[in-house]
Amino acid sequence: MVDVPFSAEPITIVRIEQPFCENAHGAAPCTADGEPCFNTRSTCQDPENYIAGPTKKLYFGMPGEGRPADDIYIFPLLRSVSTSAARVNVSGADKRASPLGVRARATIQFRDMPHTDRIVDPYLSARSYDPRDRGSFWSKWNERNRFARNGMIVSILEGYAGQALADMTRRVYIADLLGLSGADVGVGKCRDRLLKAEADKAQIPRVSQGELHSDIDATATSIKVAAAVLDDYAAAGTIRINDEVMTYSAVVEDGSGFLDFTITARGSDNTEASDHDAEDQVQQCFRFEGVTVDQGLRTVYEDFTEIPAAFLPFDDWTAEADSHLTAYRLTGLISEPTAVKDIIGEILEQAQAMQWWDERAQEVRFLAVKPIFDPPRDLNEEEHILAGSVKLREFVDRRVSRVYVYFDQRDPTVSVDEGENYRKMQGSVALEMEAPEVFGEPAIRKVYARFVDSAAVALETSARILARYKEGSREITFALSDRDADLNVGEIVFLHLRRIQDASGLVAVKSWIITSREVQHRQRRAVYTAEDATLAGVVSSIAPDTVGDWQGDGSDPFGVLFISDAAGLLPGGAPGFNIN
Amino acid sequence: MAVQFSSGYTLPGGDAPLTHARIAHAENWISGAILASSTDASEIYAAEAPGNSFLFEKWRPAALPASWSTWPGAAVDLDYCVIAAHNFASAGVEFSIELNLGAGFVSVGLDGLTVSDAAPIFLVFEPATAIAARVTFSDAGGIPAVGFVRFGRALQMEQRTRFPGRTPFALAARRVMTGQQSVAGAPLARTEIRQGMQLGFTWSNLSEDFVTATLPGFLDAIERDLFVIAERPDTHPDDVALCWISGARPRPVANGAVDLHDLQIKAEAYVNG
Repeated sequence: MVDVPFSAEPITIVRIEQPFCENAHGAAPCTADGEPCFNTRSTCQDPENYIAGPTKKLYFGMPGEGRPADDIYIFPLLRSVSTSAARVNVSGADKRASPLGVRARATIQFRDMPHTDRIVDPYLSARSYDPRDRGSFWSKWNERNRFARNGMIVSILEGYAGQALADMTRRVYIADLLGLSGADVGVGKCRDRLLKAEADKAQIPRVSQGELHSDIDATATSIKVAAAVLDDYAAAGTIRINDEVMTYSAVVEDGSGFLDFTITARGSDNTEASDHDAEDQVQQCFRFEGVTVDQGLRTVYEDFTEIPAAFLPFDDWTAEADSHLTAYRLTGLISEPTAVKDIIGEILEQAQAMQWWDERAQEVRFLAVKPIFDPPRDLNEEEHILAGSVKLREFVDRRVSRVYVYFDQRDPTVSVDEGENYRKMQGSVALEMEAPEVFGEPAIRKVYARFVDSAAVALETSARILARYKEGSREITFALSDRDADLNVGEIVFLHLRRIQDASGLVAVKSWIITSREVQHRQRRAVYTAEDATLAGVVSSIAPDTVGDWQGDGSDPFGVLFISDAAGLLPGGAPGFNIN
Repeated sequence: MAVQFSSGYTLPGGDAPLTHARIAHAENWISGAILASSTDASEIYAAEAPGNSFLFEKWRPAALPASWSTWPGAAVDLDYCVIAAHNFASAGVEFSIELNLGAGFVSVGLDGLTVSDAAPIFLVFEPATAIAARVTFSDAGGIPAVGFVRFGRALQMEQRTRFPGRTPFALAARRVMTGQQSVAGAPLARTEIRQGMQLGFTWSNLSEDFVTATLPGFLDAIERDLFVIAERPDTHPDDVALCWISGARPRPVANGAVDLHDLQIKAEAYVNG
């Protein structure tokens, strides 16, 4: 529960971190003279000496709204802030979305008006004009920051009038677009930090520019590569030329501007050695060699995205993998540049895990899709769930009765989405769900797991998906007041809702995993979506004698099973527990 | 404090009674060079800030005692100082108003003042011709910040505002309270949304001379800039507001009684803090 006042004035502050040169105009090392710049790159008159210093933090607030406690300059230009929440894709079950989920977005509108240029013009006193008589804030700012405005860090700070900024909730985004829209409107369109993993240029492996210097036959073990430098390739590793993969033990510059590769295996990784022509591309490959899921993800984020390490809590990832994904090892070769988001999505689906940008903690979170271990938080209609906010949706299309996991890839140069490209398959099947009196037809899901080489892991993956989705999926939307809005994505909750009942009409308390959290600060509430996690099960132990008998009134300890009678019933006639 | 008269203030002969509004606006306040004894080093403060109408910009001295002055470049007649967007109460500062009549700054009988809230202040003194005017702060209390200061010769409305229908300024702020409640009806949160302060002023029976000679400049001024009104300085000294007109430019309308006119102004007002 969050400590918030019962009655309060919510305020929203938007902070833009504007890149700013640390030099003073005309003072060494800056050699510019004449009319001063604005210490931005696009107004710089000496670009060679532009030095990015600490960013200038610009705060924007709604006109007439209360202030935070901090002594800051607030531009009263904020018109509206709208956000859409990040959404995790549990088990990759939603085929309309990437396994990496849906990014959080924010759209911010600003008013435009004449302004004194205070804060944004470091040389205000040296100007020969009154800035209020020239143009308007956003039009000028846009021009002064035309090189850097997209990609700036934008924070939405939400709190209450009189509260310190440091105590407010801060959601951080990266600007896709900061610019003008309409006659007197500035606009910011932003996405969460996982945008950096979705960028088109974020590929694994990176595109290699090198090409064969001359023709080679299918037996050559030394090849010369042109149009590349040593930094373009790993010291030893794997390369791909056309449809052939080969490993090398060393690469050196030959003194003439070419690279010499010492090849250790032609036609490796089940590809076929063949002749290649001069100017054929020599592509560096990337290989997972039996690493844990957290290690594999860490490598992807650290080496192939621009997300700062401060937002990647690797220790937490490792702890989660150590606890719940110990059997999973990533093995496989990526032989052509592939979008990082797609690789992360594959890993998450194959390992049955999920990742998302946690707006509040400001980090990329990682959780295994697993049964429930800890006692979930109870939410009820009396104390927590807001009136008129509950909606239920059924997703029959997410039902599965057969899950087939294809693994042990044959040829890394061939499409990953073809079953023939895998040597093995493990499946889990629930034939009883296909019976005419149940769903009446099979529902098949195939997972192409190029990073899995273990039958046990493939079976585990298929079993986890089947257990969770054999009856389809249900999603619920509900809202909580800001007092309870510390509930986070990935958490499990028990919902006590009168609309959700068992066959006898009693309230059926289900467990739900939170898949998105959308803050509606001006209404002092957060809207949640959650997926029914009841079928994922609870990790439990059989109650010792000291616990006593099952009560069934909510007072029974969590994670404890009670022995039912010979008829499989608990005291009072409730059905007993099942062990899967 | 809202309206504060100088010590021993006597209404000058020919002035409208103090039940008539005094209005400071862009056509009767002075502008000119601004000098401050010091300015806080933070970039968010500037000596020029109280002289413009961006209330989110403020001046804060680096140390006390301090002063902030306006130099119009010629001798001008003055009888008011208005101050708004300040934190004098929370800073606990003590301030005075002084004029430079040509031989240095002298008191106008507004010395050692303190305020108890953040409301706009309308300081009235007997008319004087000065080459500069200033606010000074003693070294008592904390360092203040202020966003709006003006000196000038106030407009005196020819008639009192119409009393029926008026709202005391302190109660004119519009706030909308909404609530969140649980499915079962338990109240979970109350939300306050500010919607500004809305004021209305109506004058009846303004003479043809007043309408043609005084209103054009006044209406031009309030159309383009802020104004400060003390609606009934004597009987309702707390009713001072820093305003801007909302909607269409006000127009005087002949009311049918000889050559007399009515004027109605709808305004939004600065909400303190």
